[in-house]
Amino acid sequence: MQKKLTAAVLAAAMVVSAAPAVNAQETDSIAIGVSSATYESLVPWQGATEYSAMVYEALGAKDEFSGTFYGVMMKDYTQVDEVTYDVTIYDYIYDSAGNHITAEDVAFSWNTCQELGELTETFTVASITAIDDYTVEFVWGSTPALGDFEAQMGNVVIVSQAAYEASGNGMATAPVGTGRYVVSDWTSGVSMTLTARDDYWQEEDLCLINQQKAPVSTVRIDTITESSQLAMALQTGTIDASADVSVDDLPNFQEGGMYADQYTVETITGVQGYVLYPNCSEDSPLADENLRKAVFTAIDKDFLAAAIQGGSCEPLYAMGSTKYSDYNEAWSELDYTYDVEKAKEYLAASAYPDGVELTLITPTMGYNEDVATILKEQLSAIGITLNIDVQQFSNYLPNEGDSTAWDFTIAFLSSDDYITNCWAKYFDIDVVGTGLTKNFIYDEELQTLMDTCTSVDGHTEENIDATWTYIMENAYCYPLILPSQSVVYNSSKIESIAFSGMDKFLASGFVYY
Amino acid sequence: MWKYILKRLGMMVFVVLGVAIVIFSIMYLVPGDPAQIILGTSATPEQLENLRESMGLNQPYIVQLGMFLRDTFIKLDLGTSYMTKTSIAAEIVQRFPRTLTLAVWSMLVSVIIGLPLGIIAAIHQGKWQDNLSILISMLGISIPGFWLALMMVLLFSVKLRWLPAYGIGGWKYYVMPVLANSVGSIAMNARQTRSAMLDVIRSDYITTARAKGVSERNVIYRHALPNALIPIITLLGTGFGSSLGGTVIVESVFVMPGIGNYMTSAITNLDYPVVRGSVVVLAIAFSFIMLAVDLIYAFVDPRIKAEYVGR
Repeated sequence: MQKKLTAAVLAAAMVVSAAPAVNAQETDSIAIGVSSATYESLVPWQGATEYSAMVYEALGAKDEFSGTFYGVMMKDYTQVDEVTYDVTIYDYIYDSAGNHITAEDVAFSWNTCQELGELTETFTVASITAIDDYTVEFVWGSTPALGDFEAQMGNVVIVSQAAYEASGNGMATAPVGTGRYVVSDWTSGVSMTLTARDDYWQEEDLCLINQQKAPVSTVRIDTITESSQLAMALQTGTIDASADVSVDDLPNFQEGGMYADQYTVETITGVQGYVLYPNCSEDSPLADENLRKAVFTAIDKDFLAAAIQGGSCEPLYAMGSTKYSDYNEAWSELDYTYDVEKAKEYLAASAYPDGVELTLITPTMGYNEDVATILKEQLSAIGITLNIDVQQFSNYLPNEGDSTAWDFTIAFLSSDDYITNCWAKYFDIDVVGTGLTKNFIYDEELQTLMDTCTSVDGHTEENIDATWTYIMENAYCYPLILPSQSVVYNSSKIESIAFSGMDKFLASGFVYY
Repeated sequence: MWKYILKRLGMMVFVVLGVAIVIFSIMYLVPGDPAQIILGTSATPEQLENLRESMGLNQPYIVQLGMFLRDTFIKLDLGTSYMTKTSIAAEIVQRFPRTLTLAVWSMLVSVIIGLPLGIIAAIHQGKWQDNLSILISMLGISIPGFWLALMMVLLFSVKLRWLPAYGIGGWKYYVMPVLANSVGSIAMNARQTRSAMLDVIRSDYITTARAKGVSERNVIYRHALPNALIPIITLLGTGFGSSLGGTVIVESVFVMPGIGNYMTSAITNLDYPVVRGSVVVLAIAFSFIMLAVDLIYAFVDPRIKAEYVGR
């Protein structure tokens, strides 16, 4: 199979913004505030950030919701057999230090990333070899599942071996990438300034994704971990935009707010849904299916959606955002409708007719604690006592894998492409890697359904629907809410914004006046 | 005197070593798995095991402790951060001066304001100056630095636009952090100075001095204050240590990339080497400060100097 990645396909999908980009000279600098301290190191292979997508490039990029794949450094690729892919890169790629990128650099980057333990995908890479100056052969350890190849092509950024070795510290302080911007100033954990390259290697008509465009010549990214400070930085004009303004501060920038005339708040449906997971092992009372159904029926998710995040959440009816291309609107009908009387009936049919005490563990992230508190109140209506144990993320992670440590947990999750890959993270035992699902069950039928719907050929509406129906019928999880994502930006400098698809917006995704 | 200093330096080695062992043990016992944090929830057990092995986390406690002490105190290598892969020593060298600047200025401001406030209160005991000083001290102790910091940002950055709200740069960037960090110390210094001065002012030799017709100014500044300084200096020493610790909050609010900020994110991420390295550096700094305080005693009190010389 050969796929030619052509410009025509690519142009439309990645740019979400409707307004045209204008000359960078008109607004030559912009400042963005972020709340997480992700800029303490500049190494190439350490998670995607607004920064890394502007400085480093991967072979390709995927639109998370349509699954459409775009070549960035990759010119085209050929699938030789089930596990072998030959990838050809453009022959005129140069990094910001002037190093010519060849197939050897691609192989070096992948192998180094793997050696550093940063390649954490579920299928292994058997070998990566440069077979000529611009072609690399990838041999996978197993057949890639749906979306795996494309996801991997977008995950590993490529750097020049010469530049990497010359840096002496893995580019931790002085990155050299092939991206549209270079880091011109950086103070660890505080601020980073990115300047557009004049010598960017790709031709304009082949710049297919937002990250390859430079609508503004300088972008400063400030890390402001304190939420009040972040809002005040917007108010003082120290920063021009942020996607991390807290729910408490948002009204100041929305219609009727003190700063509404200077700022625009753009809100979109989020991508990370909150899902309630019951521990289905024999270590928990929730091994009882009727008890699980009693709990799910006792939850009023409309109330949750109205109460959390200032009421800007949506009720969630599947394990993943409604934005995925394989989401099915009809799944809302499979949901356990809130009905206290029915919940009591399920409880009466369970092994715990007089109620039971259950423990919910949750990491201190997002709105988990608020959600847990409301659930506690709702479950008390049918005689279930919920003990909430909020834990630091570092403490939560080992407990999550301990079937004796919890009865419920709340997770928010997303995937890089399809909703079925969200499910796979919890219910595909090959992905979980423990021989059980994340909620400690081994269900052969579920595994067969997961294998089918996450395979390239089996990813059909019918199979996906059958899998979700089975999960819901067995009450293996319960979707709760889908928070929204808001970006506040200075309307006098920024005309509109673009999203990367996931819940992050991109500095290069702004359209500047 | 030199013998005493050398003896104190020798003791410092044991103090720092003790701190290093304690912090290592605490971090070792803290629940959580750094490998899991680095690889995230999608990592397989095999990947986690491999990473733990490569990080040496599978070694027994005593082996890990030995490696840590050898690297830190013999090789003088604080290692690299689990999360950022950068050299901890290089990062601390870059960040510590900012923390030190903040702490030193906080201490200076607390002395410049706190001491006169305490002296004025003592020499006007029971009058409105004393009451005002007590009120200011109470407010200083009661107001949380975090809240004050945000109020100052609202006033000086958002409303008046006089000072930058956050970040680093020139002296203007230090004004609000220093004030927020020193407000508690100002109050403590004022209270301690007032109390020490009142003790001294009630002494017989002060009464004698006054009886001999020495001017009130000389009584206060030449006879009373030097004798009241010992407890104040002790407070300044420990106060400086608190200022160093207090920078953790102030640095977070004002986005100052100091050692406190570095430690905060490292604790959240279970970045053991960063926490251990930062604490060891702070322990060394604090030990030197306490040594300096002891030596200052000798300069202000000849009796203590005589004791040192005799040792």
